[in-house]
Amino acid sequence: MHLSRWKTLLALLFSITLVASACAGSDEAATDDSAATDDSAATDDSADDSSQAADGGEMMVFSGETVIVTGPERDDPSVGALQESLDAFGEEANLVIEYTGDSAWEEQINIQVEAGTEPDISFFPQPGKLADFYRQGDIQALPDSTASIVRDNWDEGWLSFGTVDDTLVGIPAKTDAKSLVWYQPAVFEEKGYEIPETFDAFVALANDMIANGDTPLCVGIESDTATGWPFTDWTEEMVLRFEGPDVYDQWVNHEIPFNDPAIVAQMQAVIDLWNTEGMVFANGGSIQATNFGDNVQPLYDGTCLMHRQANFFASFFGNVVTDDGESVILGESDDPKAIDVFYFPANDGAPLLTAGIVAGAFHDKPEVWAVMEYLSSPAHAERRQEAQRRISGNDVSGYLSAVQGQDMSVYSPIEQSFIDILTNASVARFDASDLMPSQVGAGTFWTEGTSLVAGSIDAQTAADRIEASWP
Amino acid sequence: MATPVINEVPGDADAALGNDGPPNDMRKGGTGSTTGARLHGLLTRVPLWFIVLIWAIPSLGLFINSFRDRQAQNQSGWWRVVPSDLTISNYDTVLSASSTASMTDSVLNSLGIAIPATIIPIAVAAFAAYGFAWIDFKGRNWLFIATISLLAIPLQVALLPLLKLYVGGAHVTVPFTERTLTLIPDWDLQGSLTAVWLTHTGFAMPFAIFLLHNYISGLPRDIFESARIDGADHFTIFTKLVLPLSVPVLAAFAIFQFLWAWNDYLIALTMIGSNADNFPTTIRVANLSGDFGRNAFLLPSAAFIQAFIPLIVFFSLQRFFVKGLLAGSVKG
Amino acid sequence: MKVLVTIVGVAISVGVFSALWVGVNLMFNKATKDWPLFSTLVGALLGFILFVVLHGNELLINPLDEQMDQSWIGRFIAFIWLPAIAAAVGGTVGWFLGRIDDPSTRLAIGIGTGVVAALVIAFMLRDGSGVITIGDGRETEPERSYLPAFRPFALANWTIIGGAVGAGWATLRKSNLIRTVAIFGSIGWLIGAFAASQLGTGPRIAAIIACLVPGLALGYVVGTSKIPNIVGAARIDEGARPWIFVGPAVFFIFVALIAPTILTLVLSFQNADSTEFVGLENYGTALSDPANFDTANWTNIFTSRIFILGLILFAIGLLLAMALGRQTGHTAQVDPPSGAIGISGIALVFFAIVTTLRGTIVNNLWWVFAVTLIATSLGLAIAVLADGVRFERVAKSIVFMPLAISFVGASVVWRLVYQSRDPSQSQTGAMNAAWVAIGRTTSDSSIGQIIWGILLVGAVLGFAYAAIRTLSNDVNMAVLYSVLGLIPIYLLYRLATGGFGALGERNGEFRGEPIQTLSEGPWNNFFLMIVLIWVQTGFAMVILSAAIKAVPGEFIEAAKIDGANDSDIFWRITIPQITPTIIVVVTTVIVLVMKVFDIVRVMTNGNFGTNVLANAMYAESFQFRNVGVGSTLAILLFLSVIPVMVYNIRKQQKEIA
Repeated sequence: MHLSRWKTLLALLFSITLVASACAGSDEAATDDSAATDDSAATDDSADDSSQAADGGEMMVFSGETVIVTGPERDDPSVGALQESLDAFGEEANLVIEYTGDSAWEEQINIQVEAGTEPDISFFPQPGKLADFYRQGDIQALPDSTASIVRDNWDEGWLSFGTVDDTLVGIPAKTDAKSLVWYQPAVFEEKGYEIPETFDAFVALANDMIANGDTPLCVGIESDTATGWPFTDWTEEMVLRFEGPDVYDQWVNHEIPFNDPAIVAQMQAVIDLWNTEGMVFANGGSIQATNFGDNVQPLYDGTCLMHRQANFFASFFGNVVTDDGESVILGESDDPKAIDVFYFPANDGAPLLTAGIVAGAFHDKPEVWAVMEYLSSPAHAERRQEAQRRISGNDVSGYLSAVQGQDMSVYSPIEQSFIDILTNASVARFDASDLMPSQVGAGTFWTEGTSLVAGSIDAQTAADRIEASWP
Repeated sequence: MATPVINEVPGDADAALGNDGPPNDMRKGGTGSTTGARLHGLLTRVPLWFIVLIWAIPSLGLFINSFRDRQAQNQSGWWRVVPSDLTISNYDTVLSASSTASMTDSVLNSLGIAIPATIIPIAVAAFAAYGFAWIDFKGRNWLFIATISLLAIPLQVALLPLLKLYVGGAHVTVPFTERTLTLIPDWDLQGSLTAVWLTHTGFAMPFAIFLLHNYISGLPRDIFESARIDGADHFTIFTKLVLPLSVPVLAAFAIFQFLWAWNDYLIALTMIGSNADNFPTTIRVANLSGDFGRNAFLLPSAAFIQAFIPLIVFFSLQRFFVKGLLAGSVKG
Repeated sequence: MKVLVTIVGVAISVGVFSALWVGVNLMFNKATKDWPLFSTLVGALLGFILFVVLHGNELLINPLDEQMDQSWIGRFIAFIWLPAIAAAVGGTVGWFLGRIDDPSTRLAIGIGTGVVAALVIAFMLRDGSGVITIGDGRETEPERSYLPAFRPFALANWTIIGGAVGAGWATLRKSNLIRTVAIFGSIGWLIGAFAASQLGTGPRIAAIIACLVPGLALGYVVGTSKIPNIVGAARIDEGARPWIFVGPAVFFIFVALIAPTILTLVLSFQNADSTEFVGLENYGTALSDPANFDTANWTNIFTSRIFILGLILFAIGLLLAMALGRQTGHTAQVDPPSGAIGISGIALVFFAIVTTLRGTIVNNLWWVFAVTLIATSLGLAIAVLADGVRFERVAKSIVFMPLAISFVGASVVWRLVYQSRDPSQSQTGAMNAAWVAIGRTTSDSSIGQIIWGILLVGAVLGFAYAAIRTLSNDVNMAVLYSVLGLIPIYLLYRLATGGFGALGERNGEFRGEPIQTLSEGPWNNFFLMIVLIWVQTGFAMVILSAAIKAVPGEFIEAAKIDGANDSDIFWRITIPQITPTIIVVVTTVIVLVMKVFDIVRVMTNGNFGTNVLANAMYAESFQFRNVGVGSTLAILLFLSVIPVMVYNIRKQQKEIA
């Protein structure tokens, strides 16, 4: 037998174990060490920084506590920029703030709450989930002092998404505008298309395009495990535009059933629009197989002329293969291939579909509230936006905040136009699927919507099944 | 009674993954004539290499695309690669320490999980396999069957209970009273690599015992009997006889377990939770594609780095692999 | 520093673990060889464990109280001194009991030790004056007292229950009645005195009584024991040894698998947030949900082309079997060609059923059937084909390699294969690129059509030639070649009637429609399965290949002398010889496939009708927080694997017997 060889192997494996696990370092003491170094550095600098950063109010300085923040944003530029902004505050307030982003955040936060390992603060893209946790007693309501600071920073409309049963429990950490249509101004100009002012004009424009042999829309609803959400966005836009905000709210709160004729009609309206001959180009061969981000290329190439998508769509333009090898220019520009946005119009008023991230706190501790206050402040928005633009190297960083009192110069012109759209909306509503219970909003609304788009069921069946799944 | 094949035909076992050695000649052309033999050879080799080609294509695509930049990957398939396309910028990004996408730390974390998660279950399962195979005790069969049938448990069911154990320890409430007694104290393990490899150790048990028992129970009975007559105790027999004789199966299981622990995503994710410093490679790769998959172009290079070490381990230990697996399944 | 700390940590845990195990083994080796030493060690160990448990549960006045500011070494010493003393005392007692065989001295030692230990514990029990603060940063707990205030009725009850259990045990095991009753009665007394009474309000004297009674009883038990003779010592060794070997594994299995499974079973009878019992409601929900089991379109089975093709193949196989059977005198001879054709017919019928009935459970069945069948038979085919071929090692390594790639990695790999683009774009997925290229050359290009025609005609002629060549001495192979020859003939027919591959045109231009690999049901399921087949075939191949090489050469030689041809040897010698191996491979793959999760989770998340049980369970439990239904699905999954496991275990049992 190969005894000696086996012994060598064993010895080798063992020594690798030691070295590797040592380098890998799960050890708590080590973490403490590094934290301690950070602390000392922080204490040195804190005097300089707190003077410039504290907006009038006095700055609380802690003694190096750690605040754990988690959320679904998990890659650059978002994570780098967020951590940079948190670090800046950590230095001022002598806190160690660690952000962890995770693709399975949605399941992990449930597991962590169940097991009692929840973070101090988590970012919820779905306010509905935040509300669930609050009602179960896991999320802490903002103390009055924090709440008043947050109310100073934000418009009441935005705070409504973090308000559960008249209590402020969450603060907006990021706000997105969804009712945007991306297009190429030069092509519109060349072909004589006008930016539509009403929804009817939008449909008429699309029909004109078809008549001229152009494909008006790019649509894709594939998004890995969240496949289907762009369809829910379209449905929500239609409900908001044609049934009004009251019906929208009733729908979200399940005061009318999901298979109410009004909702079924709007689901059908989306499908009818998309199924119009020549209306849609889908880069993946079919709407349900196309990743919504893959539509940047046909939009750039002029294969399709319009794409309704939120402001974070901008981060996909780095994928485009451009004629000159440079990156795509976004916003108003002389460049013939530049891409710009217009507001997705409505027949009455200017209703806006929004989304974003709401931060909620799991632990009632002073350092947690200090971080929450910071997250709601213009200083955080400015720092994150500045860092995110730098890291992304784009005109559109993918980050947007509607916080009041921020220095608008950190935003590029096109981003400023997003913020204008955000702040000028006559009616703003948060993405309905994010407000519904997750079985529906992150479950059947997506999956049945996908089946509907694929044509395997009709709108009534889809709505019936979604209604049946409502908990 | 099962005869262990291992000790009788080691050459054959060695050749199972191919050593270009002489084959059993029965599978060579039986038709006799030269044309027939050639035809036969052709009909053997063409389908074989066709299948092998199909098996290789997906990995090849991954490898090539990992050297192409974002735009090239989006524009055309990897088979349209031109030398001027090639760049190591993707590797730069995923390996650079500054980037949040950095894989460097996570490789070490993965090793820190996979190596203890390989060695410790091997030890524990080897004891148990010997106990089940060669120590006579009441309820042995019953216990063994129960152990093996636990192979059927989907590991997802155990995630939350185990996490709770690591967070709060185990306590038992004495019946009909309010008193609780601590069985396992709170070791505060969540977020640590220890929690991950402990979990792997538990989940690995049924398969490890199954595999090792197959082999160890197949060792010739005479060895044990003569050793017992000489007055050797179980401990001596185990360390002096069984362990050296079981090297192949231990190595075979080591490969399996290392690959499993290295490639695991779910256990690591649950047990490490929000301690990003300890993320292993799989979580890094899964997070890399980013919000809505906007950074999907980094995936091929990251996936290649992720697969590199298990491939090395596998190819360096494969000669043991077949021998170890054989005993359980091949009965002469 | 970090490196050093971790090295020490891992080394200590591995070292302590192995030292413990080796130590216990060596200790029991002494039972037959050096009883006094063994007795000493047991005494020390029992003393140590008793005080560690008491200490660990903070039942005793805690020496840590004053030491909390110390380093971890200081805290360790503060923790360990009492158990260490207990170990020393226990060891001494053990040493005496191991040497002295005078019954009255033994009784005195036993009872004396019991009384002293009871008094020590009773006086050290926390009475609420101590403040519990442990370690750094942990909160001060409210003061606790463990001095009991008796409830005589409960105390008597528990003691009687314990004594009765002991009496029953003694009768069953035919052991000493008084000693057994004393042991179990003491346990009952302890429960009655501490668990079933009001703690914290009693006087110290109650604690003394509570400890003294079991101390006396157990002291009596120890004191009346005798030094065992060599047979008795061997029996102790034999009784304990299996558990030393099996114990650690049983511990891990219990904690990681059994306890969670029991918990899951309980949860499956409870509602979504586990607050009340709902009986079998979750099982009803899970089984009646059309998402899990949808039979709505079952009539379509009979009109599906696959179903009809499957029936035709099955009929051909049956006819062939009967024709062959006529030669040999049997009613039907199930033999390679007929058997293979018949089995593929059955497989197609099954495919027709699982592609028409929809739902998570049906999908799981489909996965198990398709992945197991294809991975095993492909693995076998490669093992046979590669045997002895030049570069065998290279070929097998390539096939085996995917086993080393994570499912996360595999999903990245296959995304590059499966991607589809609009027909007007250049395809970036390898499979659709090939599909479109085939479509283009067979339908849109005359040169392409000519080349395809030549290739296909060549293939037909080749198979025909091969069939004729082998007809004389190997009918089976001839039939196989003829059946395979039908494929190019069918493709030729398609070529003549518009081509094959991705077809379609717009405005007179070729516009091959790619396959929507992951979103077009029901076949998207199959494309997901291919990923697992890609991973698992190598496993099947390696094991089957080893088995084939282990088939004794003499058998084959003998068969050849008898004039057997290649397929005779394969079907009549190789296959029967390796059947046990095939069964092991099949069961291993089935168990793995039943639990398939990662591939589906990452690639489709169960959308487009591709859900499987493990993913549904994960989503219900952790995403939708519907723990009841999630646990139910887990139990269903477990139950459905049980038959396979039972079969495998019974087979094992037979082999052991």
